[in-house]
Amino acid sequence: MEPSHHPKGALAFMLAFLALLALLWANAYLRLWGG
Amino acid sequence: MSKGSVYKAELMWILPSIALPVIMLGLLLWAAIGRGHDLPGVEGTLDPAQLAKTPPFDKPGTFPAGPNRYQVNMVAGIWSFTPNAVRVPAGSTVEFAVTSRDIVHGIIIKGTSANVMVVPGQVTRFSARFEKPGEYPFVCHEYCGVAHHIMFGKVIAEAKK
Amino acid sequence: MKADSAGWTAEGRMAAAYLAVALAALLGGVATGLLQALEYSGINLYPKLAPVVRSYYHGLSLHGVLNVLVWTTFFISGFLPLVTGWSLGRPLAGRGLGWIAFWLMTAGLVLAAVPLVLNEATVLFTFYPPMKAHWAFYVGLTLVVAATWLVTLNLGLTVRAWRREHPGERTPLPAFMSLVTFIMWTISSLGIAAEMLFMMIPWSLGLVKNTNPLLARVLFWFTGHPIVYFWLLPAYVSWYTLVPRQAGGRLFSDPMARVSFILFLLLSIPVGFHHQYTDPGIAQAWKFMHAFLTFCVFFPSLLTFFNVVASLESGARARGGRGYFAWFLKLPWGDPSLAAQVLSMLIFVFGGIGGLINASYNVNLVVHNTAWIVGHLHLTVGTGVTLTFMGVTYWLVPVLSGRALWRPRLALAQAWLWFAGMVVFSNTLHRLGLMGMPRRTSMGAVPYMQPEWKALLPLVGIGGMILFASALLYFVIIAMTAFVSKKAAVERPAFAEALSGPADAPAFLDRLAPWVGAALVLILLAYGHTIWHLTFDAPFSSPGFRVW
Repeated sequence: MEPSHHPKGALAFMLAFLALLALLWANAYLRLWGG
Repeated sequence: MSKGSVYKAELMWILPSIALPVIMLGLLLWAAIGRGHDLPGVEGTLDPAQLAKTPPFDKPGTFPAGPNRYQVNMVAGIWSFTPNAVRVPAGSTVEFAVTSRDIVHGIIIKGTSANVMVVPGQVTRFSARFEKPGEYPFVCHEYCGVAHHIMFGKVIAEAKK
Repeated sequence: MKADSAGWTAEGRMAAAYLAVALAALLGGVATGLLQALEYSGINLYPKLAPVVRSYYHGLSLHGVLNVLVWTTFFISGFLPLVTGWSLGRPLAGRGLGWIAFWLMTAGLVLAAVPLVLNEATVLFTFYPPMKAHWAFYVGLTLVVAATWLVTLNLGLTVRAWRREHPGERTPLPAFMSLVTFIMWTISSLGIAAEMLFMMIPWSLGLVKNTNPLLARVLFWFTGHPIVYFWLLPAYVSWYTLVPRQAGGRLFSDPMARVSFILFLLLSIPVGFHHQYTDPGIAQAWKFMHAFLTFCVFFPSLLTFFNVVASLESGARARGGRGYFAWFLKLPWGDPSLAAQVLSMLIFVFGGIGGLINASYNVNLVVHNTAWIVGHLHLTVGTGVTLTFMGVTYWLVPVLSGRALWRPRLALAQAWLWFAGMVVFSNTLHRLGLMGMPRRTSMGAVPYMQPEWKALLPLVGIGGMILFASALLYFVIIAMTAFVSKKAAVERPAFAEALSGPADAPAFLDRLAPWVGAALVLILLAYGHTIWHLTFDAPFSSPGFRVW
């Protein structure tokens, strides 16, 4: 079966990853003030 | 699928992959320059064997330095900090100058963002604000030998009367 | 490549030699790890182990050196030349050279191991002066590094010979990646080599009285950051060139994979100050430059993420996977080698996120030298690299031993146990780090215990015990596969084909010299001023200290 040229799964995982990254990074960043 | 729409699909993740770190770097610069949460820098060198003759480390301790401001000159060594107790009124901002008389140590002050390395031959300057009254322990967080885990002190922020 | 009457090829014998040393080191590494995790939970076994292990910090030094210097270097030096030879369809250019490298590396290991084991080098794997270890520790480690340069030479000669035989063709991806990995490592190792040859060795031999601790740190971390890519890129080699086929699919893009490795060559080294954000004596501007470059070197890992996930996706969809996310469940989860590596990718995602946080200039103040870092490094080298290498051995040991993998369902359980143990262990350590708990510290013995740390520390012990159980299971499976399991003619795995193949990769990606040149320029810009200044303006005024 010829896979699609547009890996929509990889795109979905990547966008989810970037969202998770933004969230966890912001959590750490805010601790500069909370600390 | 045409080549053009394949590239457009890649942009859907490449653009945010670049935009996000750029935004982050901007926020970091703002925190450092705009809000003063900067890292230690170059503050001069000295001879670790001559601390007894090198101000300000010839007189370690806590000294008033203006309204709500204090200066702490501290020497780290195996396995203690001198001074290991710092008393200031709550709401004070404290400027620290630290060096080591022997090997590499570190300091982290719980409840603040103070977190530095202390290197023999170098001076580390940083500041911390002690808003709430209470005890703020500070510990050595760089392995410095068999009793590294007992090397600690505390900042005591005293409630205003 | 020809097999002898017992079924061994010359390449197989060399890979097996490296693997044997690597696995022995890992065994010592996980045993010492268990001791640490238990100590955190208040169970102190060190007195019972004297005089073999003399203190928590002696154990910690063994743990670090065995895991991140020996297990990794020896595994990689066996694995990458093997896949290089396979992918080029020819033996390594210098067979004698290959064995000289192995024996030099092993001799260096033994030389360093003697003082380390005898508690004469309890300085942790970072050996920051002016703590001073026995000179044999420094000389031994230097020999290990020098031996890796011989591996680089051998790979370079081999690829050059292949290119002469195949003019105009792109170097096959596994060989290309292996060579780039070792070239990057060799350049990066110049820092630690300079630290050893010009500072640590003369000083520890007593030829020079005083040393310069900050310069030593700068030279160490010059190597200390790119070494993590030396560990990681071989895992990426498996993820790019073997795992897609193990998943039943194809590599999404060969050219994109080559670009990612060129970017690692370019960007892995001029970033080491992100391990020294809190050091005095280094200007903030240089630290910010390294922060910027570190954010740049995150990009090839993002390329890897996309390319590898897209490749897995091609396999899962070929097996009936559908939707945006659900296809993930259709990967061949019953294959222990595939499962271990995909689980390691899932965990590594969090290591990558944590790494970007660590690299974030002043945000590093929140986490530096806390338990967060311990959590981080077990996600990255401890799982992204180690669990992937374990997954690789689930096909490699059968190929080398000519015996089937012993109890594949147990191997699958082993991988899931590592995953579960790591989730508990690492998550707890990250949380403890955010609460300000220090690293590299015998937590069971601190007089400054905080109630919120005490409440979480037992979870570190539990996670550590699960990881240890997984490791024990792993060693049993590998030993049985190597010596006892039923004989089977196990073919080496075929490399993945690519959807967009090597022919689509432009030739300039194959010419490495300009990229090496550009990397050297970047390194000069990022490090030149500071190293010059610290060599001539910072004091060499620290005598050695024996603090254990």
